[in-house]
Amino acid sequence: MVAEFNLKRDVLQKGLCTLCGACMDGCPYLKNIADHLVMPFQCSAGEGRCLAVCPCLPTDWEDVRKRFLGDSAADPDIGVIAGVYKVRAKHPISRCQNGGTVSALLAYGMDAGLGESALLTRSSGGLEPEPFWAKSPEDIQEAAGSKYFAAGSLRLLNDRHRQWDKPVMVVGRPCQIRALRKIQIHEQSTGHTSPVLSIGLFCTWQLSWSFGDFLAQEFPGKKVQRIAISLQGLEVDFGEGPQPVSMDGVRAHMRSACHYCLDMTAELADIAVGAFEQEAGWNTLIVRSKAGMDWFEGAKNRGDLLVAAYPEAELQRLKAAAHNKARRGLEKIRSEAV
Amino acid sequence: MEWMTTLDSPGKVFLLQGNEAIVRGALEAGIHFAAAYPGSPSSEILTMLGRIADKRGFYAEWSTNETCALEACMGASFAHARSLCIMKQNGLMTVGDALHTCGLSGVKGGLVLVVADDPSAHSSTNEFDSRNMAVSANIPMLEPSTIQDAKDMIPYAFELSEQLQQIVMIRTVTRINHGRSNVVLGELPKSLRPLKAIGEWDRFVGINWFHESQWEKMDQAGEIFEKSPFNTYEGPEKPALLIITSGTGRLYSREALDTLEEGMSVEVFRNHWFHSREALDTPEVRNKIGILSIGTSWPLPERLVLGHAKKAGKILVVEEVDPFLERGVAAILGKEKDFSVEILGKGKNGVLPRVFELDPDRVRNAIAKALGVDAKDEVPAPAPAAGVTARELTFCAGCPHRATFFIVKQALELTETQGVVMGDIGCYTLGAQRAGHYLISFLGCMGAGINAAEGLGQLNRFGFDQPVVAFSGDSTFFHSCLPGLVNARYHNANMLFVILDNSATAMTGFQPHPGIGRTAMGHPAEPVSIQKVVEAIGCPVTTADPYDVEGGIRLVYDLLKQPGLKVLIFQQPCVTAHIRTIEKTKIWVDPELCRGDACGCGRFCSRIWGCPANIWDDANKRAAIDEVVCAGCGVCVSLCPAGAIKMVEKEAV
Repeated sequence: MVAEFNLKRDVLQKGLCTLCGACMDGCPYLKNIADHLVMPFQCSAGEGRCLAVCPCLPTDWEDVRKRFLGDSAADPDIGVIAGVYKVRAKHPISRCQNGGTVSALLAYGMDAGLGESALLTRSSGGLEPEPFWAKSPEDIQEAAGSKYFAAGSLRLLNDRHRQWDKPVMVVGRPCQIRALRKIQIHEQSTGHTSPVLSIGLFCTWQLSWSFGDFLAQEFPGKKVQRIAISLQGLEVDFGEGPQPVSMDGVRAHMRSACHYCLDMTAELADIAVGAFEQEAGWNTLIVRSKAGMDWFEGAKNRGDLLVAAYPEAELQRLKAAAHNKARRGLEKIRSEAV
Repeated sequence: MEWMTTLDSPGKVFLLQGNEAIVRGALEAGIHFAAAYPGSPSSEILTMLGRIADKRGFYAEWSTNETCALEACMGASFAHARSLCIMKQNGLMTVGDALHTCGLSGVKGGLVLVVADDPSAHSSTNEFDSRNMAVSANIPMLEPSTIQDAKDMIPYAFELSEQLQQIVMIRTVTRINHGRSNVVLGELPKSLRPLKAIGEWDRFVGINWFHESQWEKMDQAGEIFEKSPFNTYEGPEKPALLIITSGTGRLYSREALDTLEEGMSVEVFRNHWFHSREALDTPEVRNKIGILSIGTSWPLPERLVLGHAKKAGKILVVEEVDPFLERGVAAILGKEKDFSVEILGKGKNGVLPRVFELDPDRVRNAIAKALGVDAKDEVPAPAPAAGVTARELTFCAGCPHRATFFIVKQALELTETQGVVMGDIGCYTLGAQRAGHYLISFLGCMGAGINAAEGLGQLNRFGFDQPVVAFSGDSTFFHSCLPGLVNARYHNANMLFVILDNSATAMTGFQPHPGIGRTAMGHPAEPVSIQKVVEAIGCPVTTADPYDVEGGIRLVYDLLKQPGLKVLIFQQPCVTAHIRTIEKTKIWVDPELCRGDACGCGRFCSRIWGCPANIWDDANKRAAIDEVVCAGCGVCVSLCPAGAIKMVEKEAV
């Protein structure tokens, strides 16, 4: 089926690329600088790997769920729920966005041998993130905190020198988790098996890297220390405390692909994590797979996580938010018939 | 082969190339001074003159551009030096002002300008006809029709120049410059004529006071040309068809007559190429057709032309490129009262095509049409030899330009806007084709790229936000980009100027330029640093190695994001020019790592990168390196996604 598609024509030139990184680095036809991914030369492969792994091309969600999440029925708005919790890291994590849950899970996973390394992103001040393999608690700490910019981190999975048999943990946006599952399926079809555990991050949109240029223009001479989203909207800290940025400025720099996205809660991840909006310093955590539950339970039982019951009202609010994002995405798709 | 041109053996016959014949003619004329800018098909002339200049006691230089060359010759002429200036047709276009003022001022010592045209643009971007410039500048012009003429016309032109005190132009074409024929040598002067001091009241000024005297010189030239030995007529007293021809048309016409008369097979016809002096001895043709060959193309010998025309039943004009002679003949005959004759020639409905060079086939068909006879054989285009693959023009293996285009193509794509690349003249002009991924979208004359980019670079006030890149080679930079760079800097144009510095005037045969450190005579010289010149103009300048593709892409991308004028010098010597002086690195493909078509790379090294050294081994179904042509640049090593292309230790060549 994918042979009907052309990555340049159907994804890149239509502004649908999420910069997940799944197609990058292994292919000489794809070039990337900043958050631009282009195909300068005409690829002659009719059915390249890029088409198989691209999260923006048709994905058989049912098949992916069955392969990785088991037979549980999926909630129409937030996907398979093996468990949903209000969670935070027991030990404080500096620079974390909310409850530090992701960092705590990764640290436990590394200790427990669930993943020898973790595919994360780091950046200075939240701008221009770069992917890296975290191999120690210090590395995990370096990656703490949200970046609101795509980094194409899955590219590191394509390193031809990577040892495929070593278990790894991957943290990514919903589109990246979708791409990760497609990579895993593709690997299975080519005889590879790559033990991967995934944490999907709730996501409503990403910013283009041009947002950095916008900030430089709006706040000349100031260096960004941190970017965060609060109930008040997007705030930028230049070392003088958080300053709100107009939503018009933010909207103008949203990555175009995000307007078409239907997945807010990383429905295909082993574990999905996002903010617990009613109470600062806590996360929402959805366990989706058996492997995800083992991971979560292990961290909880070791005492790395503080876990509380998830309020039903908050769950309904979360579903409504996810539903609204999917509705907006569908409307966008329908309006442009992409 | 310049040794043949220096032999003091009058009367001896040598097989000479046209350009060698011109060199010999210059020596027989006793030149003091020669200056040129390289350009095919003229480049060999000053190359040879430079090599023998010390020995023969004259001076020769590769000037920075054609205007420098011509005005240097004008200066030398002021002191009564005999000066020879050489250029190709495009060069002549750049010296328009200098040539016209020289025509007004006249000259002191003989000044001869050899302009080599390139009909069909074999080695050019166009086939401009230089002869029109002689008319515009109002100066005498000659056209050799044989290699012997090419030699003999040089001393003749110097004598004429000094007799008229006017610059004389000689227009050649590729088939004269690069053709070969027997040439009878003339005498060499024992010593060069002494120069004269420039007196207090001597003047060499090109102002309008001398316009009338310029015309008087042309009148005088016209009279001299009526009896010039370079105008010949062969044929019956009253030909049914009078062929009036100049340059190569003379030999083509003879060739054509021969084949028309005998109805030769195609093979025999081809074998007769350029060897048919006997053609006119065939009685039937001889009685019908006459050939008036004009060597003094401007001003035309009006009485000579008119006299022959009045005896002809019909006229066919055979000449290279523009209907220059045809218009001149028509103008002469049109002034004659109560006289009318049909003139056939070039044009949409003419018997000869109005573009591309002549050949015996075309002339033969034209004569047949003029006579109303069957051309007998429609000569088909020669079939390619078996086993020879059709190839397009491309960069040499290891050429740094290939890497530069590869870099800029990708950097522009990464901006996700439609970048515009302005080309210029040199090897890198090939970047307009597949070798450069069709990147060049603007191409004018030498130095046009940066100026056109400067224009686009001012349009941001209208919302024009496409990235603009201009290319220039190192020789072109000195030739004609300096004023453009000053202009772009002063007006802070939004553009990236990329100088492809390969330390060579590579396209024309590696002639030295001011950045090289060696003169045409082989003397050392202090090179002019492009980087320092650019810095002195006040431009932000970056230098980089085009072989570092990844670094280059990032650099160009970053520069394109910056506003204003940016200059990037990609430095890497021309491999073809320097291959014998560098240590060659051996490149090879590891067949274990190259997975061939199973890789999914789509033969990226040979199909996309496209270096002639990156080949496909059809027997083993793997990529391979053609070691014969590989220059060892190593760029492909960094491009292979499987890491299969390897670079091994250096070995001496």
